[in-house]
Amino acid sequence: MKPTIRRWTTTGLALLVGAVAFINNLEKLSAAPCDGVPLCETQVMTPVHYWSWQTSGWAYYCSGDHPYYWNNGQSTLGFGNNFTWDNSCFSVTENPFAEDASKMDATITNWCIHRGGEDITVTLGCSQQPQAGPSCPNNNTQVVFHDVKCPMQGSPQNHCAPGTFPVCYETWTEQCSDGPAYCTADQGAVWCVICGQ
Amino acid sequence: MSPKCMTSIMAGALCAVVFAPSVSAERPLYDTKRVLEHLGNECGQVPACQSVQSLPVLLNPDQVKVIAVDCPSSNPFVWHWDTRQHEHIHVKVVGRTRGALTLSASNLGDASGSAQIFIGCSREPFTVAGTGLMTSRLGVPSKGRKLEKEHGHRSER
Repeated sequence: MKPTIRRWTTTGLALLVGAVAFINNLEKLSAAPCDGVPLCETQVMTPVHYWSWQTSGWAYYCSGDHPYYWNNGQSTLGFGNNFTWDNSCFSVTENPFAEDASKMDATITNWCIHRGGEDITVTLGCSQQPQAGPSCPNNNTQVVFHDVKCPMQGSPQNHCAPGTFPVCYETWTEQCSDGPAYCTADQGAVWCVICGQ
Repeated sequence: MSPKCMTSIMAGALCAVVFAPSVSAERPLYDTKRVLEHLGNECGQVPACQSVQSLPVLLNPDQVKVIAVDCPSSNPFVWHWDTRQHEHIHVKVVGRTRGALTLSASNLGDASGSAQIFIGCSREPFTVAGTGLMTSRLGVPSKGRKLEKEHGHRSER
């Protein structure tokens, strides 16, 4: 294949990808970050400025008393879930394999060509309940703001954002007579997620 | 599987292929004269922020360089970062301490290019809550796209 033909074939592929990603994004603009996430609140991230046709990797974190980011997996690979953004110039492609209990990881691209670039603000759906939390009948989960003091299963685990950030929390599981309780200690607050009665 | 699922999978998989830095077919598609300007994101929402910049680093094709930038003792905590760089330079974070960032810059194009790093430094310790972390910056290949008409085309070389 001649270099020119190969170049334009690859360019066409890139444009196709952009179009697919853009259409995909339009769908997600109408979804709410807390769709399908129990005990959820939205957390708005700081706006970021992008140059035209710039792509960046980003890691965003749920924090405070709602430290858990859920990935509800609208596909089996988990692309595009409990987050939204405010500018249709952008595609936001989730990297589910780089995520953890609090972290949302994405590749963000500005496809518009506007003088001075574009701003984007990402919003996460953040939960008090870990995604691997209790599975209760009728999804009747309940949060109590104290340690239920049932026998502990295993050892407590510390979770910190990478690096030197002061964002850490501790989790542990207790086995109560009516089911497991998933507990979290975060910045002095303690709460447990249990099945409702 | 629903069409929405298929679209999501296709978008993610194809983007992964297109943006994979090692795809040599992309090499001639970069406009190696286009510059992604410095936008000041290193100090966005950072309390009492001081911007600290590295010297510009020149990279030949396929060359990779590591750049470390430190905050001064007056503003010892590093927050965010930004760059002024050519489209075909892939800059990414490789290390972080309380007061410094270490980044790598890789030349993915077929011509030399440059990158200059800007970090935001504060008296207050960094918190990831509500701000997140940029992990990399790169241009989308734009050769022949006429983006220069919008921004004014400048070459650093």
